[in-house]
Amino acid sequence: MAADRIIDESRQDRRLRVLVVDDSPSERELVHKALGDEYQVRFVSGASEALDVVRKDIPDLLVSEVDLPEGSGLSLCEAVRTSPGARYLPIMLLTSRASIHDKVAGFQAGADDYVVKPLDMRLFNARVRLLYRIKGLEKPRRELGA
Amino acid sequence: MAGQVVEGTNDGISAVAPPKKVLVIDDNHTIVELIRHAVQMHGKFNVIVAYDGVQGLEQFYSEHPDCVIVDVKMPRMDGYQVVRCIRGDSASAHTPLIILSAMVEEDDQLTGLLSGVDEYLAKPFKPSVLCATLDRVMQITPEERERRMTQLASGAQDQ
Repeated sequence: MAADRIIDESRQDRRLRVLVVDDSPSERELVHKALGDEYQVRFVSGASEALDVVRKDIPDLLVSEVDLPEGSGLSLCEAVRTSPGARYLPIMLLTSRASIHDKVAGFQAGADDYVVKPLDMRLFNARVRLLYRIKGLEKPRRELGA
Repeated sequence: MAGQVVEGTNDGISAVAPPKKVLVIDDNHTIVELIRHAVQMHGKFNVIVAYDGVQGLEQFYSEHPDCVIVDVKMPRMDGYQVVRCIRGDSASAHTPLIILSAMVEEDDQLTGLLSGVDEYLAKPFKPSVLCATLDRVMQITPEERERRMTQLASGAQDQ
């Protein structure tokens, strides 16, 4: 089937797969520019659509806006953390919400990083890579019960 | 008390610059007092304190310190999260940051550095080393910090 072929081709591509949850076309364009061709980037608009993707085929990294047309980035973080196999999925919130309360709520919901818009493209690209590396360190330690 | 810094001005009259501020975030009150004493004896900084990560962020955004010394294991929000909050906002991304922690495994230190800290110091600490580190991180330019972050990030491709 065509869908199976697409998944097979996607898996042959060794680039990291980043799922981006944001409904704004201009923000999507910026994120796409910032990540360039180094990643396989997939965009979705809402929390439930993102959760469906995560449950079917866990990406390497999730980047989500907090304010979404359907659901929220925070509820998405919470749902992902209880989703089988997604415990170590690196999650970055990318949002214009910059208050201390919002940042604390983001981490408490399960996010690993919190980046405030407007997007600094170089900073964002570097932080995506750093976050992936950090989570790679955490996984074996958590599995050992550290 | 922190010392006063005398700087030259264009008209040749010396002006007293306000001392720099260091924010210390640690849930161990004894450690906080040891750090406060060491930094104040150094004579270049005033010290403000917080006892958990959330209180630390509140102090950070209200007091705008010139440098932060933060522990890792703390209630409400850990030191790595505090560092990522500060580095993830371009308004504060270039603040000098030091982790001072009893967590000294290689992966702990690497997590701190990847999170964006400038230096990772181990407890127990020597006051002279802490103060020398403070002086050093205050000299790091935004360009140097960005270069280092990019270098650390590029290591991720090797995994």
